[in-house]
Amino acid sequence: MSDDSPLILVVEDTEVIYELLLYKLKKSGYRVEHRANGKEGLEAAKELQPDLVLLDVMLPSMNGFEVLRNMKEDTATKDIKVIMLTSKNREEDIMKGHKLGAERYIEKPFKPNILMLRIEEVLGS
Amino acid sequence: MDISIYLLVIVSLVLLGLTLLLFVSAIFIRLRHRKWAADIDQYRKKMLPHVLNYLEEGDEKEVEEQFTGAKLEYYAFEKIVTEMLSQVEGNEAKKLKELLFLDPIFDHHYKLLISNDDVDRVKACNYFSNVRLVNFKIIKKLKEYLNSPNQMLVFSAATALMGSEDVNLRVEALCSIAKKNKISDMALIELFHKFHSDEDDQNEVEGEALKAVLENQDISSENRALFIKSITEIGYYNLVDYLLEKLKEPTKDWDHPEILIANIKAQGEFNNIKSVKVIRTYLDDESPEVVSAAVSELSDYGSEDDLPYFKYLLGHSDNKVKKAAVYALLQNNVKETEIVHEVPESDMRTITKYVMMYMNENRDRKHS
Amino acid sequence: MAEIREILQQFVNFMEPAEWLFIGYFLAVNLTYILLVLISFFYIRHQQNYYQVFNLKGLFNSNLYKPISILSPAYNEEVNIIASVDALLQLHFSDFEVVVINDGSTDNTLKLLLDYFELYEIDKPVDLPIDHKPIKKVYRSATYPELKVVDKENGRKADALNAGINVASKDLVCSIDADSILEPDVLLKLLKAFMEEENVVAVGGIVRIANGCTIEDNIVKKVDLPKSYLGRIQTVEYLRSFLFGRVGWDYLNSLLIISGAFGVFDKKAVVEVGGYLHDTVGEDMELVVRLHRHFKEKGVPYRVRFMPEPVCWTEVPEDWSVLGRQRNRWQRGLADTMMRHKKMLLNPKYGRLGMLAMPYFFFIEMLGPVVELFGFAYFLIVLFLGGFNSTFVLLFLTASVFLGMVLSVTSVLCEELSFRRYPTLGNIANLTLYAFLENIGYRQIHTWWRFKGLIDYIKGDKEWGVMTRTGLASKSKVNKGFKKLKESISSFFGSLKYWAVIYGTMIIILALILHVLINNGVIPDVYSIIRSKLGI
Repeated sequence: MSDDSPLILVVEDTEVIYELLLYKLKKSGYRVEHRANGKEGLEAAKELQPDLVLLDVMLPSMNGFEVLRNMKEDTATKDIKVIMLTSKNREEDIMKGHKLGAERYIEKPFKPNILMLRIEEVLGS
Repeated sequence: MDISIYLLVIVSLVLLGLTLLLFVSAIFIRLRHRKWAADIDQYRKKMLPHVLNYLEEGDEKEVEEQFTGAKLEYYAFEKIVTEMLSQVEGNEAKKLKELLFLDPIFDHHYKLLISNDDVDRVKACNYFSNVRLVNFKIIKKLKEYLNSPNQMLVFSAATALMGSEDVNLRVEALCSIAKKNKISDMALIELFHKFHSDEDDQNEVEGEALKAVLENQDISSENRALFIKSITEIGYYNLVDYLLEKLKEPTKDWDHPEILIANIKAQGEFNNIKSVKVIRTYLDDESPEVVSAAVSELSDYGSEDDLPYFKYLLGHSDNKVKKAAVYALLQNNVKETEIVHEVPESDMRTITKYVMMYMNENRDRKHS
Repeated sequence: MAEIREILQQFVNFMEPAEWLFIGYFLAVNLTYILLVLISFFYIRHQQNYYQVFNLKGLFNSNLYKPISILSPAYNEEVNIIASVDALLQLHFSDFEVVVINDGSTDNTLKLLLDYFELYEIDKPVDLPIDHKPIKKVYRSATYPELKVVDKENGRKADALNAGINVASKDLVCSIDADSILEPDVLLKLLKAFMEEENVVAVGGIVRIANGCTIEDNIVKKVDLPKSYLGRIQTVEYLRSFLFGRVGWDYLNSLLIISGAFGVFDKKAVVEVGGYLHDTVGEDMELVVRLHRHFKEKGVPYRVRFMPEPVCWTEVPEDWSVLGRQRNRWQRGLADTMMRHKKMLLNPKYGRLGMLAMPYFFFIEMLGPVVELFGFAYFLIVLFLGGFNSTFVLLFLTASVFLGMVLSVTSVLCEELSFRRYPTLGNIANLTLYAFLENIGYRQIHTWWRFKGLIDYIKGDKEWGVMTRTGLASKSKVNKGFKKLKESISSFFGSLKYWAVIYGTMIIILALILHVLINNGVIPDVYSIIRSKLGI
């Protein structure tokens, strides 16, 4: 794993899911960081300047939409790409996420391999 | 010494002892729970990397070797798998389900299923809802539990059966649940959603099979109406003509305001243009709820022909119908003044109120 | 002195025939409690077993489920309003709205809301099935479309809630206090009640004490016991009243109270009975009793449930006089509800409700303080006159103190068997200790508050009594420090009399024990020995 491989920040609170994501991302050769709640996720985004944030919506302390809103309002983080990952499957939420400026919106239950493709796509563009 | 002092000492000691006992058991329970949680955590930590490895490499043996036979191990393992299953689908989900078929886990849950304790049985049902149901013995047991007086067991067993790939089995379970009066609307809706599989190509087959449920005479009209609502929500489009037939010439089982309303709304949701003529026949139904449902649906089609009749309905004796008529007219761009002009003095207040309500709601809608 | 003795003796003679009443009351109360404890103990275990395994994950896929409107009345809540509304908007539920009712606040509550949530005005509801003070304006948030704010003329909490019900657009309404802290998954857990049974019209959840907990952004991060004596006593009280009081009544299908701090109602049912009552201080209990009465009289199947799992955290007063006023108000509310619905009392037409729940609340909860107070007075006077067999007195006293303690400790055990919200072993030991301390002094003071509440009710006092709230945010440090100093001085003197009662009770009990022990020669009578040694 080289230092210039893309850094991905995973903000997700369910242990098995982030372990799975971290495992898969590392296998694919990315550098990864993980935070389990919204506040820490936002701070980490500012501090680490990752290439991409994988963001859950249902998070403790600050929900994903809030994190996204804050990120887009801050000049330091507004260019970081975001993929939202959530178990909410209502249309309004997808619209909301999109309006706030998320690159992609992936519904849970999700297909991990498809997610990996999306990550590649977003990072490639 | 006085006899009462013995009594005093005894009563004090007994009560004090009881308090102490309760206190000690509270502490004991807490410690036991801590140990339990620590054990689970340990097993979890041990299992998780192997499960992740398996998902990547596909070697079941590696996971199977981890089991030492402790009950908690199954629990921790199952938790990992079900938690993942609730959020993951596709290839990984398939692999996870295969993992649940490993002999030690399967046998453990089969034992739970045939035990005498309802809590254990519910646990087993949870497990079987995640694996492919092929074993005849298990299916038989689960069906048996559908008739249990314990509602939670009924629900869990039905959920397990809904995981089956066999449509007929799912229909059978749904039928048997729907016949019960005790089951709540919400539980029934939930089971209906579980009946529906995520594979899109299943819709046709499922729709066909659902006819059997809807035709069943033992199902109450409330539940039949509920099913029609759920059919609409999920979108079994292939049932639309079948439902329209039922609306055209409802048999005794189908001639019930709740069912008629659900059916009228279903036709609207499915945008079935053929239904307009049939829905019109309900404009003079004796139930005001049915009339207002018919008015609202017809209003969406926006045919000029219906407007005079909507105006006529402004004079209906029931307020629900009046409201529906006002909304329908306004929706079809009839001027407020024209509407107010139509009504007698005595109804003026009510009608004006509905006009205002419509305007409020729609201004609101535009803004958001 | 002799005259006083004379008067007291007359009182004792007068009360003597009532002795059986005290003992009978004592037995009745404790038997009911023991019964409730036993029921709850097994029922809560039973429920808990299922809730651990009964899988609700993946539930609530459909939009046909009952959506919820949360009604949060706010009167001069500028300290906390933004944080609390923010937290409400973060609840985990697929379809809900938040309706904040600004009940004619005189501070900046409304302005803060307007700015922070970018409110814009929408039209007032036209259809008002239940009445209340006029609504001035209704707003909706541009950032959160699910947030509505109602600005209305000042009324009571009941009035604000009624306005909220008229504005609410969902099937269920959830009434809370402005300072209630809901756990994020609370609505999902409450909805289980509607899942398990049809025809549920009201559901209450457990209220726990937030004092002492670490709170961030109106979410409880770390649970701990309150630091103060009163806070801890109330923790024991709340555990007891929720974990075995309400669980037991729920099992018996005759739950009469759903806390105003947190309850969910079927909107249609509430509108059908006409909403909350304006002119009572116990509007939360009154509504539940009225729902029961309405549906029983109508002969329609219905259910009122208590769920011990969904949690609402609330700040309780840790100041003697504020707590006293609160309890006084509760007692007046209880009495008011009982008197309004006395038709149900001992009326077999209302089934278990009329024959069990109503009599319990009427005779034990409402009239209990009267009996207890006369009991205490009688007991003290007789003791003063030396007319008792002191061993018997001590027996009675010990039995009542220890029994109260056993009951409270059982609720601690129930907590251990089910939810374990208090994390450390020290917490359990502390709860047990306070379950014991509660019976010495505090219980007597509590009885006095309730007695006064009853008297005030009879005199026709319907005022609320001001609740001062500490608030979770602060302004300037100097100001705060100064205010705190002033407060602590005044509350120190204000609470002196209460502490006097507590220590007094302790001294009396110790003296009694000593007396009995000396009389029976368990320990030597040092005083007499010295006297005789000195030859006096």
